[in-house]
Amino acid sequence: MTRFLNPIVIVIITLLLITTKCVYAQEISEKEYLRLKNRLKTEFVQKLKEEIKKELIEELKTESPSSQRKSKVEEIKSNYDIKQARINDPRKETEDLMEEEAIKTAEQKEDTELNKARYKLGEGLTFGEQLLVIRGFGNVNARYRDNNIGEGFDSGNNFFSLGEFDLFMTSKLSNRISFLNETVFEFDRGKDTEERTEPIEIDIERLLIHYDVNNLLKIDVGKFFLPIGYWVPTYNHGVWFQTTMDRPDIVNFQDKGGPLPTHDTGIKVAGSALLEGFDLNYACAITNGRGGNTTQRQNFDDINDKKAVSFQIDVQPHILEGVRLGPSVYYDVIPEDEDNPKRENEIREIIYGGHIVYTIKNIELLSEVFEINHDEFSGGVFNTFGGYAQFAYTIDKFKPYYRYDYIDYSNDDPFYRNSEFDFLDTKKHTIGLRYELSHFNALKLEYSHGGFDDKDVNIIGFQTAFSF
Amino acid sequence: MRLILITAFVLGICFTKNTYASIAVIVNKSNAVSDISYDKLKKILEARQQYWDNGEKITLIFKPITSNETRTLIDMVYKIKYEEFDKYWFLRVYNNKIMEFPKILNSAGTINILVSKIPGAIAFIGKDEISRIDNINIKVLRINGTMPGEDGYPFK
Repeated sequence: MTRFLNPIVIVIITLLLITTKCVYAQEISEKEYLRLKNRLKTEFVQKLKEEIKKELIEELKTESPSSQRKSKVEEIKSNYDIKQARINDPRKETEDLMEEEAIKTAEQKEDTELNKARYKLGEGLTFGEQLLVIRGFGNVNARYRDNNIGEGFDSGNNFFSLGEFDLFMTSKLSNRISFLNETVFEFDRGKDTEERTEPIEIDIERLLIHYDVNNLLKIDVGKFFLPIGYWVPTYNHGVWFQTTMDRPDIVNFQDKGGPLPTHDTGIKVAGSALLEGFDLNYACAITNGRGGNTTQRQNFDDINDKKAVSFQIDVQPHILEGVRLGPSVYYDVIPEDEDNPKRENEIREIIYGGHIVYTIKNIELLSEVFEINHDEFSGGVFNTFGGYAQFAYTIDKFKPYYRYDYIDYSNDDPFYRNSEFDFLDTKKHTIGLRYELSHFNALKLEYSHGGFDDKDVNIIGFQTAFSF
Repeated sequence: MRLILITAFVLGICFTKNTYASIAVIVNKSNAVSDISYDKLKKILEARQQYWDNGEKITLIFKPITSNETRTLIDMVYKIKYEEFDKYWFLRVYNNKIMEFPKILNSAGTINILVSKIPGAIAFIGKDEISRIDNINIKVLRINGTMPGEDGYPFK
C-alpha cells in the first residue's frame, strides 16, 4: 500500500495542477500551456511505466496460474490505457468532473420539480400524488404459568403463541382530510375448544375518515378508539409501542375478556385549546354502543336506538412538563340479550374514568382508575372498580418496569356473569425488562404474580415485539 | 505530571457542556408571523399547535436526525433519546393526532424550495445556511425578538 502512496500523491498533485491550469488556461499562452503539458505528461508516463513494470514483475514471480496472471496483466494494462488516455488529454478529467456535476444538478433539479408538483395544488392532491402508507406491528410470545385460571381452557402450562398481526394504513386525501385503517389478524383458540380449530380472525379495529378543521376541531367518522382513559386511545393494538408485554387487565380488549368498551362505530370530535398555563384537550364520541353481551360488536347496525356517548378531558399543565391528567365518562344503554334468559332487561352503563400520566426523558408513570356502573332498571345496581399503576425507567437500551393491576367485579353483575369469559377479581404484580434490540424490535421479559379470585398464579413470559 | 493530566482530563469531561448547533427558523415570506415566542415554537414543534393563527396548516420540515440542528431540537425541546424521535412521531400518527410524519429533507436546497412553495411550512436550518436561502420567498423568524446569533436567542 505504501509503495503506491508516493505515486498516488504525485498523480493527485499533477491532476490538480493540470485541472487548475485548465481552468485558468486562458490566462497563459498556448505555447506555455503545451510546454507544461508535455513536461507533466512525460513525467507522469515515466512514473506510471515504472510502477506497472514493478507490479508485473511481482506478479510473474508469484506462483499463480498463468490465466490469472494474464487477466491481471490485462487489468493493469487496461488501467494503464485509461490513464494514458487521460494523460493525452489533461482536460478530460475536468470534463468528467463537470459532467458528473451536471448530472448531480439535473437530479437535484428533478427532485425539486417533483416536490414542486407535489405541493403546487396547495390544499389538494392529484391521483398520481396520493400515497398509501402501510405500517404494521407484530409480536411472538412464550409463556410459562404454574396454574391454569380459566375454567374451560384445556391448554398446557407452557407454550409459544402468536400475537396480533396488525396492519396500519393511512392516506392523505387532502391537506386536511385523511383516511386511516387498522386491520388485525388474530390467532385465537376458537370457540370449540375440543376441536381446537384455532381460526384466524380478521378484525377491522379502525376504519375512519378524518377531517382536520383546525386545532379546536378534528372530526373522525367511522370505527375508532373510544376516548376513555389514557391507554385505550394511546397504545391500543400497537404492542411494540407499549412498554409491557400485555395491556393492563382493566383495559384489555372486549373480545379478550376486558370489562371496558374500547372500539366503536360512530362519530368523534376532538380538539385542543392552548390556554395560558395549560393545554386543554377534549374528545367526545357518539357511537352505537355495546351489543347484548361483552363481545358483540355493532359495526353495521345498532340493536337499540340508544346511542353511547363518551367524553374525555385531558389537561397538560405547562408548569409540570410531561404531566397529563383528566377525567372521562361513558354512557350507554346495553340492550337485552335475546339468547340469554338471564339478560332480559336493558342495562344502563355509566363508566367513570380518570388518568394521571407523567412521561418525560427516561421516566414513564401511568395510572388510571375506572368505575363501571351497571343499572338493570329493574332495581339491581352493580359497581365494578379497577385500575392500574405502571412505572418504567429507561437506562440506555434497557427499560425495567413494574405494574400493579387491580379489578374488583361486582358479584352477580348480569352483564359480566353471563359471558363466555371469566371476569375474575384481579390483584396482579408484574415486573419486567424491555430491551431495544433494534430501532423497530423490542424484547420483553417479565414475571407476574397474580391472585385471580382465590387462585394464585405465577407467569413468566417472553415477547419479541416489532414494527415494520 | 501524569496525575495532573488525568485530573485535567476528568475535569474536562465533567465540565464539558453539550454543544448545540446554532439554528435558524425559516418560514414562507407570506406568513404573517415574523417574531415568535419560544413557548409557541415549542408547541408547534410538539405538534400541539398544528395551525398558524391565520388558519394555514403548519408543515414541519426537519433535517435528518443525524444533523446537528435536529439533534439540538431533540435535546432542547423534545427531551427524548435521538433513537426515539421516529417513534415519537409514529405514535402521534398512530393515535391520529397528526395526519402525516414531518418532512425530513437532506439538502438545504430542497428545504429552501419547499418552504418557498408551502405557505404554512416551517423549517430548521443551520445559522450558516441563512446566506443561501431564497430571500424573496423565505424569511428568518425572530424568536423572543432576537435573530440567530444575537444575545437571548434560544438556539445558539
